[in-house]
Amino acid sequence: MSGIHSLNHTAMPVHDMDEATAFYRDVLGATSHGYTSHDLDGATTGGALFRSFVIGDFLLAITVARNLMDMPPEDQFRGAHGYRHGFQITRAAFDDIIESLKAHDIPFEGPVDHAEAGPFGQSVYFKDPSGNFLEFVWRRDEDTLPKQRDYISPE
Amino acid sequence: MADTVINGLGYLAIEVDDLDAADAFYCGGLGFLREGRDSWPYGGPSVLLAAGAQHLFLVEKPGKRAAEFGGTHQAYRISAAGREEVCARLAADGFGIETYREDRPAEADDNYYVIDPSGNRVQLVVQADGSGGGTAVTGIDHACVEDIDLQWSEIFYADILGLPAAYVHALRTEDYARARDWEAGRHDAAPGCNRMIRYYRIIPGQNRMQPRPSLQLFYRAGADVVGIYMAMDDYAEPPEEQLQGSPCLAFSVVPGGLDALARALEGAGRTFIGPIDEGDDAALGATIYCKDTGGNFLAFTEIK
Repeated sequence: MSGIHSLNHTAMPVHDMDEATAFYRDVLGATSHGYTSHDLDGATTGGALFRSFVIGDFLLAITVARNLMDMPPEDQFRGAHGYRHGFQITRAAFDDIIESLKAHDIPFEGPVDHAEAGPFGQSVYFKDPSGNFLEFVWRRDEDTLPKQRDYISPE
Repeated sequence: MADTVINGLGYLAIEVDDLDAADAFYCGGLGFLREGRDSWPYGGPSVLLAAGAQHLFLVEKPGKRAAEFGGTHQAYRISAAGREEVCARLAADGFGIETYREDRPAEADDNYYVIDPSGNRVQLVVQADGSGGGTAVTGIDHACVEDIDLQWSEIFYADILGLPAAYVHALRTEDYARARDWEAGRHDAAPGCNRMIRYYRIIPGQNRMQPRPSLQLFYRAGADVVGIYMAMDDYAEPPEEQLQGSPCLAFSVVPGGLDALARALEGAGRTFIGPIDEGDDAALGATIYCKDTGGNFLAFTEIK
């Protein structure tokens, strides 16, 4: 289908919003973009509580799971816990992510080398505290791709 | 405000519809000391009470409060033995003692509540160090108000006033499980902690009422705590230009701290009055008045 530019945002449940906030902000360097349904209207009409974060040009919204989700095995870092978020990162910043994971005692798998013939260079795989699978990947063709843009809020 | 200048709760001003009945309840029942009359400058007749270094203004205003509905309440410290005696005394006088539970872990098991003669909900909290065996309240432990937008509340209390967070409720999956326990009768939750709503109102078969935990924010003010509950319903706020009135929650401010507070409020675009020199009154001192984002009257006092 023409006209689709890129994935703009996703929303996913977590078990503990404060814990997730600390993870995405402190470990991954996400910036807070605001809250949704933290008001009376949201409370009375059933609007889910959301907190949004900007990672690069991407908006990640998290909400509270109303029921406990199954947790993947502790030693499993790759998979789809319903889904997996794979964020593209520059080669230069890739090592910083790994250092941040180490500094915050977040277990991970990687760097994992991808096939040299393909566009992906290396990935690191890990999970957020609620078991959501995450990946950061740098691309060999990053110099030919559009430069990173800031997230543009619709508000 | 990076480093808060607030070091505790200074006083509370609550509204009562019968000053004599309130005076009997708070002095005769809870053991407050009577310090004066009609010194509250922003309302009708009043009585000033003291518990330790903190104060309580009873401000006469017709009409009962509705403590059984929302999260608004005031909590006072007392010794364990004193609470037992006070509860027995109040029960003998016909007051019902409630033992429902709040969500904040620090008070989940400290659950003795009574409604005063005017409908204000009062909680008696055993002081943390367990000291003393007196039969009177020794101070204010925490006070809770309501707001209709808790993102605004967070900005006001955390970012502008600089108060450190003590607890947030309704942001964990276990909080939703506890709300379901409340609905099923397995958890005796205090008023304002949960509500019943319809999540999917327009989908046939899915429009049943379901429990939802109320968002609650708690911040430390020195050794005391202020709580903000998501309002159970919309309410009329005071006129925008009115910044002084009751009920009022007053924070005590460190010596010389009012200027920094004024700069923080001004920098955030919040309207305020003061500092006003309220004279030598033991409770009022020099004061800045404003409202929080929920329209709750606040005061910031620097006692001489």
